[in-house]
Amino acid sequence: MVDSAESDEALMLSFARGDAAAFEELYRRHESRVFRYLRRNVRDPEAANDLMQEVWFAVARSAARYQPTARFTTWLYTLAHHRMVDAFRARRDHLSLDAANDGDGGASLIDRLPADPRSEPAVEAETDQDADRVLRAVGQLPEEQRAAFLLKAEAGLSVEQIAAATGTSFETAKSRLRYARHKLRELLAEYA
Amino acid sequence: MNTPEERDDDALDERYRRASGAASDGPSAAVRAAILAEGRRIAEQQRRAAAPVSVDTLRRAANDRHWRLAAIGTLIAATIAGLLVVPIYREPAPLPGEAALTRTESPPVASPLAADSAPAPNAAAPPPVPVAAAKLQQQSAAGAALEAPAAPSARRPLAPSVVRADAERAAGGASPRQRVEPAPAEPRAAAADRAVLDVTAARRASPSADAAPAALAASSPDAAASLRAAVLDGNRSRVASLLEAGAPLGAVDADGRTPLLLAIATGQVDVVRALLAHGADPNIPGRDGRTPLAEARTRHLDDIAALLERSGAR
Repeated sequence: MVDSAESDEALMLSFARGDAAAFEELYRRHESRVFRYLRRNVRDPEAANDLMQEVWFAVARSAARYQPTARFTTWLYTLAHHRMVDAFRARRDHLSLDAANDGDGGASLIDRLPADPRSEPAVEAETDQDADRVLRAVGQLPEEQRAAFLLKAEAGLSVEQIAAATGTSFETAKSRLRYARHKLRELLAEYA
Repeated sequence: MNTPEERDDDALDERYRRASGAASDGPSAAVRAAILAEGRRIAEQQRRAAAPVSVDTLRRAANDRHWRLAAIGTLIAATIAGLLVVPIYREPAPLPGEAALTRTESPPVASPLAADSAPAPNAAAPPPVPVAAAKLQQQSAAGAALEAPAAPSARRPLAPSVVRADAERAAGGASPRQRVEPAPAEPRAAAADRAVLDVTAARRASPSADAAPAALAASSPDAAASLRAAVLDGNRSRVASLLEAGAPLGAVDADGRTPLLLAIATGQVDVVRALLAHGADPNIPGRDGRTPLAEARTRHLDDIAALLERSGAR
């Protein structure tokens, strides 16, 4: 029986000793946020599912060597971030939507994606409209800024942890976060 | 107390969280099932590894002294090999001219087989060994008598080199055979050493055969990605095997991090140790200018910092 008050690090150590329930509890705690972090970054649901599996397989297979030298969350998102960066590099051609401007009037691919049923103006509520705007705006951030923003807003990491997860200095992480928020506000103002 | 700017930031983050939560995203059921199944598999594996190991009577215990037998066997094999190899270096081989001289001037009486195959030019000529014995008797009555060889029929066949040495001792400096000196043992050993050195030098000069797989592996763009994946997995043995296959230690990821920096970022002390053991430069900084040692200290990874310092990190 897993104590839900146990820390992530303690759960990971229990899992390393063979406690499958500890892994399930860890997964349950972080499933949604990790998936959304990946999904908001790569946007392709299939790719996000592949990455999700890769990340958690890596977590499970690292159990025997896991040492709680840093917070589990930081380690988890470091794994997730680097898997994502590698995936971006490998699949840049068909995943990167940011810079896709193929000369048909300047609209980026993100603007030309088929509309999600949730965002059909006739049926969506005001809150859904706002959610749609926010997610679209996040999707338009440059990769590094988007990762920094999502690590903060979605994963709840501190600036220091973002720096650790993305392999940058504290100042760089802070700067990316600041630029991301500034750009988000601009985009949301435009949508409004 | 938060500043107005911080409150704005928090509000923006909260607005995003509401939007993200409303989207109700989640992994597919298949992915979730696969992840949880993998977790159960690893847990079972860990449980088996942690369980007390049952005694396998067919397998030798780790502290069994069977290694002594192996050590003694190895020692005996090495001694036999040494006994077989050393004479090659110590005993001079007959030179072509010397062999001819031996056939013409000194029929190999000590070697009955050779005597049969190479008949003496003069059948009436006395056998050489008694001649040598007679000379010895002339030079030293008592001593030579003691040292005089027995009759040919009673002698055991001697090695050609022994026959030559006996004859030379008996003939003193006057024998024409002295003109054909056998090559001394020491220069032959030196020549053998030179040959070995020449082969080594040739290998050094043309390392392509040994270096080819490493060069191929290092040139593969997948090698760097595989190494990064193994580092992130904390898979020390895979990291080591990739490095031995030539995976590039200096290749950086999209964030400008070397595999060593990546291992430090994920707190993988064993992987850091493997990378350093395979020659990773502990002073290559990341894109932001921070060195591996600074990175480890920032993360309070004292064991990794100590490893880096021992490897010359500054």
